Amino acid sequence: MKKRLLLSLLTVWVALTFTFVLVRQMPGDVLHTLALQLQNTHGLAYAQAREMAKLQICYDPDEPIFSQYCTYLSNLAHANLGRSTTYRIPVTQILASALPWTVFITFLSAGFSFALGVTLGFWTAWRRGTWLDPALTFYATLTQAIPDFLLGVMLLLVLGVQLQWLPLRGAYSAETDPGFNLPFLVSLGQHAILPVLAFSIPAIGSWALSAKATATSVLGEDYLQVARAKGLKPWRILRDYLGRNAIVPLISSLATNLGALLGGSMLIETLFGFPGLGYFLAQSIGTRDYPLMQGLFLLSTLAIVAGNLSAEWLSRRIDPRSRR
Amino acid sequence: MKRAGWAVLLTFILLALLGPMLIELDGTAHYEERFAAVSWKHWLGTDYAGRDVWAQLVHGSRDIMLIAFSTGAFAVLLALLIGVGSALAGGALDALLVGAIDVFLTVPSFPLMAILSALFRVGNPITFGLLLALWSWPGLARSLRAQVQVLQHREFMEVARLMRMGPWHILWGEIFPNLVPYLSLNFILIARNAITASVGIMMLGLVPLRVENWGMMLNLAAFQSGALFLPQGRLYLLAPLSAIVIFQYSLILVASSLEEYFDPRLRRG
Amino acid sequence: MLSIRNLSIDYELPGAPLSVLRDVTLDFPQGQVTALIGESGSGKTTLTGAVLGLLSSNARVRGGQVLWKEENLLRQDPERLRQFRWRQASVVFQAAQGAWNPSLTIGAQMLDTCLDHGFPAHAQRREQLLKQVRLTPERVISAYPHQLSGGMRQRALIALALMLEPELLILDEPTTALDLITQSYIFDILSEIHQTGLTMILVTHDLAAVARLADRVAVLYAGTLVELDTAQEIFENPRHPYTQVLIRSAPGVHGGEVARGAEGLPPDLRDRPRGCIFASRCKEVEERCRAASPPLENGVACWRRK
Repeated sequence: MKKRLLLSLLTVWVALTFTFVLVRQMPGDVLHTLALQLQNTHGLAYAQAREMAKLQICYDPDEPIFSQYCTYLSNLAHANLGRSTTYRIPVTQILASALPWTVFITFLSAGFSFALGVTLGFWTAWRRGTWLDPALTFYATLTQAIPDFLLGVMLLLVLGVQLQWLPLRGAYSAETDPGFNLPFLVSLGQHAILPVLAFSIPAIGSWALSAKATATSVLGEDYLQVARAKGLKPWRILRDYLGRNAIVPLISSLATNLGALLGGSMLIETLFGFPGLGYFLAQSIGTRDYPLMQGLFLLSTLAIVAGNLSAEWLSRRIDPRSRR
Repeated sequence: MKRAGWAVLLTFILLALLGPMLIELDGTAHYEERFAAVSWKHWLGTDYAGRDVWAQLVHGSRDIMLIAFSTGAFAVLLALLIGVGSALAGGALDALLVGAIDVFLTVPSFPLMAILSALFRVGNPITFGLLLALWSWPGLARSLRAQVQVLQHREFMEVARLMRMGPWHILWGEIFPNLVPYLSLNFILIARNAITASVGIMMLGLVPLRVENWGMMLNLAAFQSGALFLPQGRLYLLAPLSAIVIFQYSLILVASSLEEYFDPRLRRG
Repeated sequence: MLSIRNLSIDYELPGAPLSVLRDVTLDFPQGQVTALIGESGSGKTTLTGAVLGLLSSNARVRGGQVLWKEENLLRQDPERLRQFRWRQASVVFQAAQGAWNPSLTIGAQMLDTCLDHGFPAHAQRREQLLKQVRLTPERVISAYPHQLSGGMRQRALIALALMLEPELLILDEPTTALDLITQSYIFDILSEIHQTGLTMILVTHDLAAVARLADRVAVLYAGTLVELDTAQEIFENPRHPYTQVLIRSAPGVHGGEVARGAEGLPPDLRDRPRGCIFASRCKEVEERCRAASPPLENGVACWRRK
C-alpha cells in the first residue's frame, strides 16, 4: 500500500510537471496569442493586455523558470487554476459544473454494465456448456471490435435520428426546470439513455467475460461441492458461495475502471453534447484553452490515481482472508 | 472464422497498397452531385461536396494502415528496448524504468494523445503513429520485463553463459526468439487500439489530416456536414464506420488465431 | 438402511467411456461403520457421489439401484435429492482443501444449512455441537475459516455434518493431511459419535483410521468390490490377494514389516478385462481367472478362495 501511495504521488507530480512544461513548450507563443485576443476584445493597450493574459493563464515568462514553477505549484495548492480563455470564468467553476455530469453518467453506466455483465457471466459459468457460453463469447468479441464512440454514432442514428425515440443532444431538455421535479427527472433519464448504452454495450461483454472466468475458477473449489452436498438451495449457492467469492477481484477492477471513466469520455460526451469533463476537455484542446485543458487533465489524472488506490484498498477490505 | 479474419486483413492491406493506383480520387467539389445515391458511377454515393465516397474510402485506407502499423511497430520497439533493457540491466536502472512504466500506465493516455497530437499539429500518419506509440508501450514493456526475468533463469541461458556467449548473442540468439510469438500478438493488439485512438482523435477534429482519411470522414459526416441527420447522407457516415468495425474485427480474429497458434493448449478439437 | 444394488457407473470421456464402478452390491447396516478402502481411482468417491446424487455431469449410471429405505435415490428428482442431502445423509469432508467458504463465518455456514432445509435453526444446537467436538463456540462461530487451524476446521466440519441430525454420516478422508495428535483427537470424537448409534461410511486409504473406527470393511479395486468382511477378519485374515497386498503394505500393521504394494498398474478402465479385475497384478493368477470374473461369494470375489 505504501508503495502504491508513493507511486500515485509520483504520477500526480509527473502530470503536474507535464502540464507546466506543456504551456511553456508549445509551438507558437501562447501568451502573445491570448494578449492579442484580449487587446481586441477589451480594447486595451498591448502591454496591459499582456499583463492580464499572464494572470489568466497563470504564466509569466518574464520570471525565472524555477520561480514560475513555484508559483504554479502554490496556485494549484490554492485551487487557483487560472481562467478559461474561451469561457472567461475560473477553470475551477467549469470543473465544478462539469464533474457532477460526468459522475452521473459514469456511475450510471458502470453500475448498469457491471450489474448486468457480472450476473450474465456468473450465470454462464454456472450453466456450463449451454448455448449461453458461445453466445457470450461472440457478443463480447463483436462489441470489442466497435469503439464505443462509433457505437454511439450508430445508436444516435437509429434511436435518435431514425426512430426519434430519444433526444439527440444535451443532458436535459431546456424546457424543463432543473430541480427535483418530474419533468426534469424524466428528461434527464431520456437524455442519459443513449450515452449510457454507448458506454455499456461493450462493457457488459467484457464484464461478463471476466466474471465468467473468476466464477469458473471458484466453481472448481471444494467449498462449492460442500455447498451442494449440504443440500443448499441453488440460489443460495449462487449468491453466497459462488457470488461472494467470485466478486472480490471484480469489485476492485470496477474501482479502477471507474477511475479511468471519471476522466470523462471526450468522444461520447462530445457526440451527445453532454456537458461533462470529457466534453470540455475536447473543447479546450480544439480551442487551445490551456488553463482549462490543464485543469481537466490534472483532474482526470487524479481520478485514475484515486480509482487505483481505492481498488487496492477495497480488495483488502472486502476479502475476509485479509482480516486477521 | 479465424481464416476469414486473415482474409479480410489481407484484403484491406491489398486495398491500401493497390487501390489508390487503380481508383482515381477526384478531390474537387461538385455541389450539384451532393449526397448522390449509389450508382455505377458512385458505388457508395457521394459526400457533402459531391465527391465519391468509395474512392475516399480506398485512398483513406492507406492512412489508417500506416497509423495502425507504425504505432504497433514503434510501440513494440519501445517496449522491447525498455522492458528487455530493464530486466537485463537490473539494479537502480531497473527500478527507475519500472517506476516510469507504472507512471506511464497510470496517466490518462487518450487525453494525452489527443492533447499532443492536436498541439503539435500532426500532419502525417507516421508522425501520428509515433505519437500514439509513446503512450502504447508500457503494458507490453512490463510483461516483457517479467518474461525476460523468467527466461534468464532457464537452463538454456545457463548453458549459453557457460559457453561464454556474448550478451548480444544471448539477447538475439536466445531471448529474442522466445519473445517473437508474444511480440507479434501484441503488435496486432496495439495496432487495434491505435485505430480506435486515432479515429477518435480525428473524429474530434483535433488532427487535420486529408479529407479521405476514415477518421476525417467520420468527423465531417458526424459533426460538420450534417450527414448524420440527412437520410441521403447515411452512406457517407456508415461507409467509414463499417470499414473501421470490419477491420477491427478482422484484427481481433487474427489476434486470437495467433494466440491459438502459439499456445497449443488453446487449440480446440 | 442404505443398500447399493448392482451399481455400474461410467464417465463419458472423449473416445471410450471410463467404467469406474462395475456391478457393485453393498449394504450399510444400521448403526455400523462400514469402511470403503482402495487406491485412488478405485471408485470410492464415485460411490458416495452416487449416494448423495452429486455425480459429475459426465457420469452415466449404466444400471443398478441406490436404495434408501426402499426408495431408489437414482430415480429421484433434484429437489428430493437436495432435501435428502445433509438432512438424511451428511458428509465430513476433508478440511485441508478448503471445504469452508472463505467469505462466510463458520457460524453462518452452519446456519444456512438449517435455513434451506426448514430445520429449526437453533443457535443452541450449534453451540452444543461445537462443544461436542471440543471447540469454544464463542470463538468459532464468528470466525472466518482462515482464522482457525486445520484441526479446528476439521472438527468444525464434524459439527457441521451433525447439524441436521442425519441418519447416515459419510466420512471422506476425515484425517488426511492432519498431524498425528490431531488425527487421534478426531478419532476420539468420531468414536464418541459412533457410540450414539449413527450409521457411518468411512472412505479412506488410511488403514489406521479403518482400524480405529470401522466395524466392517469393503475393499474396492478398480471399481469392483473384491472383499467384504468384518474389520477384524480383514486385518487378521485377509482373503483376497489384493486385500492381502493392501494390508501388508501398510506400515505398522503387521509388526512393522513394510511390504511392497501390488506390482504393475491397475487395469485400463476404458477396456475392462473379461476375467478377474485383479488378474493382471495377482501373483496367484490361474487360467480360469483370465476367463471369467469371479462373483462375490462369502464376502470375497476370487476363484481360488471359493
